[in-house]
Amino acid sequence: MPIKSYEVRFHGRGGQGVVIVSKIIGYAAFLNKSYIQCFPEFGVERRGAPVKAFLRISNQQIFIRSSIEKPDCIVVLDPMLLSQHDTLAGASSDCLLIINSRTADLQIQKSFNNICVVNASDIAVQNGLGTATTPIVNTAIAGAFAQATEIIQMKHLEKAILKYSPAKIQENVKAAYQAYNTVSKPIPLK
Amino acid sequence: MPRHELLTGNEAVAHAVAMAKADVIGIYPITPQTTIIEEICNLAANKTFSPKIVHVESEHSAMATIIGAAFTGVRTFTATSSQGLALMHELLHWAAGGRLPIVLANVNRAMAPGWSIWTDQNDSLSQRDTGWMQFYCESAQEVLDTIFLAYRVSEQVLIPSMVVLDAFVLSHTSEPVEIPDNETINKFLPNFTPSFKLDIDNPCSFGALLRPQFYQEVRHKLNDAMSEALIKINESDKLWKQLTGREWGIVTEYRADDADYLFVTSATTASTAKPVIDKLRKEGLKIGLIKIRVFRPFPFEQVKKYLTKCKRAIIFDRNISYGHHGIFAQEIKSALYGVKNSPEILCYTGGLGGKDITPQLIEETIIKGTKTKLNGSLFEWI
Repeated sequence: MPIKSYEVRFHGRGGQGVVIVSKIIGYAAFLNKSYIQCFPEFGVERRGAPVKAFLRISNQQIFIRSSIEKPDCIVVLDPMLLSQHDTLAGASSDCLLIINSRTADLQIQKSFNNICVVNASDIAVQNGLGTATTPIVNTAIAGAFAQATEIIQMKHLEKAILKYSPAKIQENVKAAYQAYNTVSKPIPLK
Repeated sequence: MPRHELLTGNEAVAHAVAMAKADVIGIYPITPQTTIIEEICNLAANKTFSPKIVHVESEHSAMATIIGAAFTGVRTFTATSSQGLALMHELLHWAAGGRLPIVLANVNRAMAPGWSIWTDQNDSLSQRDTGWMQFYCESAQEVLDTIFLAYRVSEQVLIPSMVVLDAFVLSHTSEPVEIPDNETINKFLPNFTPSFKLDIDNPCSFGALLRPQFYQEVRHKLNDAMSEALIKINESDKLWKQLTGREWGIVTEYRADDADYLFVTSATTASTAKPVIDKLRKEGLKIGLIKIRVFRPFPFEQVKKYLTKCKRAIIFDRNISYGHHGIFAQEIKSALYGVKNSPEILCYTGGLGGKDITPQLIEETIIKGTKTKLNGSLFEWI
């Protein structure tokens, strides 16, 4: 029966593509023959408001259908959300934290063994995704996720972006590769 | 060859309706059902199938539209949730009384007020006595497969079907789904030709006045057809297994064979319960799971078969009949009335209005259920 799934929780804002990125990463894992389950926070989504999405990845069928309370990985699309009480809720120090930020100087309430910071905002802007004030960072974040976790492969991620990006497909693929090549493996930050 | 795709529960409904080649679809939006009709419109726009889609001004009209269409012998569909289903109530009786093989997807959403878009089963269970079959699903795959089964059985016994899925937990959750090829669907779901239909070359009257000497007889036949439906569901399930390797049963068990205790539930709660059963088994508790998938017609014999083997049944309902207790629990009790070796029964209601049903919550309920000292039957909120 099921081993524990790899559980990911995404935090961002309405309009950043939080739900889509959970699907893109989920689909990339699905193409690698994994079982996956992804779902948005069951709420009312509004532009600019905090939004959550959830993803489970497993090599066996997934039966649990409740929301993710103790994630193995938290992906934060807007670093301002780090100060929200529920962003890091339930995370142990072994939880991998992937953060989109223009600076590595971050105020993080808990201590984590593995943190991966990616400047997805600038990567998005450089690729013409969104605007400087509201960049669409989700595909860059997906590239960082691929590098940091090694759970998904870039060839699958590329296919997933082709399937789920509503526009600027090549730019989105490029942003994902750029983030993949920019970020290092997660580094211990104390 | 079947293909594999990532689909939400709602997308699974839409794909199945398209593959079943529904002819007339009445649509009116309501969260969390709306993505079903959106995807149906996408599939129709892509020429995956060519239904007549009728945009209407209410759920009442959506059902009225497809009742009219179904009388002409075509395949019909609509989807709704919560207050939308309640607004259809009058016409649900018309569909069943008219013996129309309509298929409806209801995405379980709690009834307002207070305003809620999240899941519980009080909307569909409020329609228990309208004469519709009801199927409760736990995965997107089960949803897809059940739409095909619902059309097949409905057209065999001439009773409408309600395929029920939990809001968000299933409706908006993406997971891998195996989609059968068209050849498989053609084998499973032949074209529908009713014996009687609205036809200008052969005029008949439908739904006309029934005097007291006839009315009860017609209702008696509807009730008999419900019993026949259980046989047809079973046959169709076997055929589906031959064609796809999958079967969903009427009442299904998981590790129930030698169980002292049975956790009895429905829909996605049954899915989340499986790893909990495994954990508790490992810890030495002889617990099993019973999932009730078909609620109407109610599977009295199957319930008796499984539940008379255990000492205690712990029933978990995501619904409530105010002034009584959970509705599945009521039905299970009635199935066991006067039956030898009936187990002790504990009734729990929880998860209303989308309250998350976690593995921890199920585990706590089971532990409580095994330890409670019982004096008669018991009902508690979780």
